Formats: sequence, structure tokens, C-alpha cells
Amino acid sequence: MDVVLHYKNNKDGPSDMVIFSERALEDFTRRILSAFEPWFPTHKDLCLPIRPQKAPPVVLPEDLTRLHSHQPSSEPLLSSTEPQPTSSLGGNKREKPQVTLSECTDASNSVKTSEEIENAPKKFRRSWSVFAPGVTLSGSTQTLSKQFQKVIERHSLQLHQRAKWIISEVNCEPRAIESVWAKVTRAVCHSKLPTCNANFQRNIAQIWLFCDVIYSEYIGNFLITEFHLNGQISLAVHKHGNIFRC
Amino acid sequence: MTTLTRQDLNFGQVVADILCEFLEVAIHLILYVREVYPSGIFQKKKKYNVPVQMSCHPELNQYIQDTLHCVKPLIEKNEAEKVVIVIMDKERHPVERFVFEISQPPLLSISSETLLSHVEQLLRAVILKISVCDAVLDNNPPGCTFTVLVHTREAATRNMEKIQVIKDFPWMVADEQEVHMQGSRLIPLKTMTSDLVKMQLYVEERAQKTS
Repeated sequence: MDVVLHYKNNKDGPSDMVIFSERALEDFTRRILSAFEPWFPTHKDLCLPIRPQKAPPVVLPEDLTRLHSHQPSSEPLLSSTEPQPTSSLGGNKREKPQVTLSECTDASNSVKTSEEIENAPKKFRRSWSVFAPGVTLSGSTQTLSKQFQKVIERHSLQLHQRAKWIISEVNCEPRAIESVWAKVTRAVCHSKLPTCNANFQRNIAQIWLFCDVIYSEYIGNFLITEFHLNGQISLAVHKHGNIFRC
Repeated sequence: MTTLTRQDLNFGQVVADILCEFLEVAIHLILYVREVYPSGIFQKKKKYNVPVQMSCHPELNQYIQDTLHCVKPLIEKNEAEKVVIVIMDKERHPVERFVFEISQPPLLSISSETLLSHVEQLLRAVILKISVCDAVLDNNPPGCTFTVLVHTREAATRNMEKIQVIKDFPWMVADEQEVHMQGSRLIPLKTMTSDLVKMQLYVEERAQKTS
């Protein structure tokens, strides 16, 4: 860049003019502004994720021994190294028939303090039962009504898909659900309910009976008539929810 | 093949069901593989036709189920961007972060094949990757714990009400120290692309795990 300077010839001479012009060409002093930060919501707030306030449980070695001591030796699901279907995930799964009936305590009681364990009654409360194999099934158990056949077609169900009958407390009134559970267990034990395994969900006061779709109508009718249940019980299939009432 | 929007067939609910079912298995498996809990509390089960390790500790199972029960509505509404399983040392500094980045397509091309068998195959592949991920990760220090972080598409504070599904299971905005990890390395594990959901899983691992 060229700078042309026009000046009057006076006594100071051109040397001062060079100094003046250098000063005139100097950069203006500038103040650096701080970056703008909005006060709300902050960038950090926008980026931060959310998490449960509660911390996950800590498992101590003592808990581990208690956990194992509460698992009965006859229960194959926990001791077997063979792959088994996941318990809480539902799905189209077949329960592996067991020869013996196993008993276990409530899930919520699995981890207790040592005092509770010592003071607890020795009696186990049965919470599930399994169908004993090797039983010949009569043809009448497999007959399906037209209405139920339509339900099967509508949901494209397979005949050996697992379905679940749900008996709630209301269905058992005025009797206690525990007494109905005892009868259910006995019926399963005596192979009156083909392909059935039953589960007592004590925390929600429901009895769940898992069976093959093909026998589910027979089992539903059996439950209603034999156990004198009130109201209707519903049949649920994984991913479809309640598909039938009996 | 039919093209449907998110509202048809309650598409969001289908995706949320599938993802939460998968995340439950994945969390159990991560806790087992990364030895956050003693191996004695796990038992072998089968999911997606592969063996997986699932906890039999009732409190832990309940905690995982409660967490996913709360996350489900966010996935259903496509508001969860990432679900992160953070493994932390005794000082609650993260040592590993298993990041499940989720994206759902606005339109769904639906057929029975793509919905069931294909998605199951893809999820199985992710599970298998998790089960062998310890080969590429360093050992964690003893006494580690974990937490689940949910990154939402909008500001976290806006989603607090939506996630408070269970009364006794409150949620909060995570501390910055739980989120950021200095000097971490990124290990991509698996990417899956299906008509229902796209997901990528990667691990962020702290370079110096023992402080």
C-alpha cells in the first residue's frame, strides 16, 4: 500500500511528517469482547443426559452365598449350564418339562439379612410348578371351538405357541387366591392340565398358567369349572396381549 | 411391501418393545462380561437363539427392569437418542461407556420377514459382539459400579416428566463427571440397520483405568 503525504513546507521539515504519518497509520486500540453465553438454558444443560437417582444394588459376597443357599438344589434353571429361555422377557418359548416339582421362595425374599434367614420359617412357599411329561392326552383336550379357531387365525398363532391364562384375586373371591393356587398346583401335578406350567406372582396376586395354544381353551374351561372361578379370565399371548376371554 | 408412518400399527410401541427387550439382555450381559458383579449371580439362558448370561439377583433385576420401564416411553416417542451403560470406578469416575445410539426411520417398510427374523438376526449379532468385547477392552479396576444414562433429543429437563413413570424410581440430570471421560479411546462394536430401527454400539474406554 502506498501512502502519499501532502504537507506545507515549514521549518520542521519532512522528518516530523514521517513520524506524524506513522502515528496516523497505527491500528486503533480494540477491546476484545468476551464470548456471549446465554444464562438459561446453558449448553451443558442441553447436553447432559438423565439417569436414575437410585444407585444400583451392591452385591456383597455374603449376598452371593445367601442367594445360592436360597436356591433349591432341585431347581434346574439356576444350576444347569444348558441354555434356558430368559425368564422376564416373555416370547415364544417352550418350558422344558421337569420330572420333579420344585419349590422356591418368593423372588423378593431371595436376599435377606442373616437374622431374617435364621428367624424365617423353614417352610417354603411354592411359587411355580411344572408339568410332568409322559402323560397320554385324550383327544377331547385338543378340540377347539369355532370362535377360538377364528382367534388363532386372526393372530396367526401356531398351535404349539405358548399362551398364558391369568387368574387374578377377583376371580377367586370369596376364597383366598392361595387356596386356588394350591388346587392349580395339584391339578398340574396330576397332569390334568396338559403342557401346563404355572407361576404364582405373589407381588401382583396373580396366577399365571402357561400352556400350548392348542390346549389353552380346554385349560381355560377346566379352570373355570373345576375351580369355580368368578368373572372371566383372560388368555394372553406374547406381543399380542390379551386375545381371548373365557 | 407396505409403507407405513409412525402412527400406523403403533410403530413406536413395536420398536420400544423390541429395543427394551434387547437392552435388558444387553445390560445383563455387559455387567457379566465386564465383571461389574460377581459371576455367581449370573446364570446361562438363551435369547435370540444364543446363550446369554442373565442375573438371578432379584434386586438387580428389578433395578434394570425399572430403568427400562422408564426409558420405554422415550423410545416409543423417538425421543431417546442414546442409551449409555456407564461403568464407574469407586470414585464414580467413568471407566467405560457402552453407547447404544438409536435412530428410527420416519417411515416403515413392513413385511413379516423384515420385522421378525431380520431384526432378530441383527440383534443376535450385537449380543454376540458384546459377549466377546472383553477381548478388546482392558480390565476394569475392582469395585466398579454402573449407571444408565439416557441422552434425549431435546433438553433433558423437558423429558423429566415423561420418564418419571414409576413413582419410587425418580430420575435426575446426570453430573458432568459421570458423563465426560478424559483421554478416552473409541471402540466401535457393531452397527445394525433394519427397517424398524438403526442402532450403533460403541465403547468409550478411559485410557488410564487405574488412577
